Amino acid sequence: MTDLTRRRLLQGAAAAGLAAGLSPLAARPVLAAGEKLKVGVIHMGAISDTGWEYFQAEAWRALQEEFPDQVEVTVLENITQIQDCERLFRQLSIQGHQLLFGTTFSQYASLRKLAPTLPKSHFECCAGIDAGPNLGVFEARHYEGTYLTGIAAGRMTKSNVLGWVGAFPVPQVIYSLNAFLLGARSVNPEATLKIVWVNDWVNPGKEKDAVATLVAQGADVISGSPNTPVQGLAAEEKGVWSIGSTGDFSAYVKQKQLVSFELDWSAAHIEAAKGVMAGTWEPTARWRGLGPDGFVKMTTASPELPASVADEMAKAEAAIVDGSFQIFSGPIRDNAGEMRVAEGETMAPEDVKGMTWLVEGVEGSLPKG
Amino acid sequence: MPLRIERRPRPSRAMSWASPLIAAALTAAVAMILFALDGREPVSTLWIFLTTPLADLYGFGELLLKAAPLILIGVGLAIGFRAGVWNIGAEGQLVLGVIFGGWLALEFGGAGPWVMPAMLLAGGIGGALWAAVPALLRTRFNASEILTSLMLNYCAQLWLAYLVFGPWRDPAGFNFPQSAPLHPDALLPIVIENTRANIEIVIAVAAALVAWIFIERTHLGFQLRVTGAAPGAARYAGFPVRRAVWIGMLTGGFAAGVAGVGEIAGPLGQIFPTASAGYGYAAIIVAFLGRLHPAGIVPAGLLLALLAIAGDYAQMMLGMPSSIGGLFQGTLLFFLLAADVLTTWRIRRVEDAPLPATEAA
Repeated sequence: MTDLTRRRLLQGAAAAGLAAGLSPLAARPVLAAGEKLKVGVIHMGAISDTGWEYFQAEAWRALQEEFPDQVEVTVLENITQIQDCERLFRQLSIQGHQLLFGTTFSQYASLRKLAPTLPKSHFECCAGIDAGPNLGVFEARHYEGTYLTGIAAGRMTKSNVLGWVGAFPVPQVIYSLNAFLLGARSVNPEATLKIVWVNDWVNPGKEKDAVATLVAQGADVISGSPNTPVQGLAAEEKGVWSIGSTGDFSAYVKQKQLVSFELDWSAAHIEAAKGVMAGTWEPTARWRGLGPDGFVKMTTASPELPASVADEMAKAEAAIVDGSFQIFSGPIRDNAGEMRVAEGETMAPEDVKGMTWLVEGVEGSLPKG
Repeated sequence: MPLRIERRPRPSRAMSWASPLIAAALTAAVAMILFALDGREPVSTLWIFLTTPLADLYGFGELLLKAAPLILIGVGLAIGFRAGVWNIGAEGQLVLGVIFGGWLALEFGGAGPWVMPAMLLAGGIGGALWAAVPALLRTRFNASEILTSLMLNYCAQLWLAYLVFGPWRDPAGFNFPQSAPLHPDALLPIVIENTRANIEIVIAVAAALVAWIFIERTHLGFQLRVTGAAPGAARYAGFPVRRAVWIGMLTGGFAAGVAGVGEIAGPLGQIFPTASAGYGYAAIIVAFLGRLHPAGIVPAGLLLALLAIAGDYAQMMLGMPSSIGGLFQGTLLFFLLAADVLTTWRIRRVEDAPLPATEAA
């Protein structure tokens, strides 16, 4: 977290405190003086050294760092069965945890049922579809990260063929890969994208095979939504570039990771905790990309990335953050040639969230369900 | 004075019932040693570990919810095991229950209150049909039902995944692999208010009673027991071994299928590709811990459910890894198998007199 965001957050906290002091009726602080805010987090998987659950854990670690004396975090990991998560959330609530976080979409259905029945706690679910009674949700605009990494890929490809290792054909993956190619084509109109579907979030064997297939078809920059370094390592073995998409694997993929971005949920946790402490928490749907307090952070770049390309990426990032540039603005055709977003139009967020078509230049189709 | 292990003239009945208690006591001892090594006060930690899950009515309901499928499947399997039929495929049979019951719920949910009982029946039939495959292979081709039933678990899992990723995917679910929520008509009624404990626990206990009467009090049950205990004697008496295989497999499959419906119509309320929580395997431990006897399987199912729940709570209350619950389950099984040796063998002191065999040499 940069100093800028930290300062902004502290200012926010001061403002919230002031508001609470001025109008005691509007906000009702839930904590007595000297009492700690008890936060509970249930990870569906194990917190490892990288990947989805790791970023979730980084968020509550940031929360602890932000409020070392005011917040106490209880963490459960490896709660893989959906049958169990309802009981454990309820138990955490009964034990007096006022703010509870779920880390995956799979917990969303349980939380939707549970949250309204436990008014003493407030709930937040990452990747949930929409806010509900006593349940806030937060999700990242992954596509802002993939658009920027696409610029790097478009500049660095020699074959003009990019590769994408597809986990599942869910909108989150579809808009990510579409934006990746849009980014590439913004600097290199010749670029095309090939996809291999793995149908798994983590499956090292199939991911490795997918990379080999893509390289055999001429791809020389490989991206996807990897949870482990396996795709990057496979690409490195073949001598092609890989993108650290939603995960910086430069510690493992030492030579051939071109650029990377990560998901940073710190702001989601810190804001929710502040809201609960000030008594102003409301269930909201937060969908954020780059920028201060955002959920997408550009991380490392290879020393081989030319400064001119880094500069192009930085300019695009600034334009995305200040709102002067929208990624899904027309004209955009799908890969069957149909005009999907007309010139001068911009896709509504709901349409992006439900995207089920591939942009022009993506080779292949979505697996039929 | 050396000790020697020798075979008992007949298996000890007392030892057979004592060994689960010995195993439980030794497991508790291991748990306390582990807690002590971790720098905790052993007795109070064990107390917290075992009692926190049951601190309130809701916790009690959760125990019943978790124990119900274990008891139900355990009872079904035990009938087969008593007859010497080794059905390792309850996990797959449970998944078939999810598929059959789930189809009914998605197709007819909201059509009336008959849907829920029909789902239970359909799930049971699905599980029994899946179990019929290894039964047929065994009776027709003498293929080991251990291998065939186990392998069919993977087929069942893939079939369910295909359905949930494909035709059954919720159109409003953002492409995520899960069905639409089941209609309230398709859900099992709650038996203890303000908990998640549903009617499945009642079904499970009723199944245990029926199984008890069947195994101990009917002629067919007697035939099954003899077939399992002494296949030669059974053949000599003219008891059909094939019939024992069929009955053993089908009851196990039916019970597992019903338990599968219990998951989707109970705590899940939706069909997920991971609908099974591994109960089909855990129930094998439950059946043996309960001495393959319905009266033993009920407490055994409750104990295993308690250990599973306590493992999650240990993370919350004691800051220990959740795998501690699985570790204690494994320890329990280990000591049970060790103590079971003493059912058919005994340890005796041997007099110091030289053995005749050595003298002759």
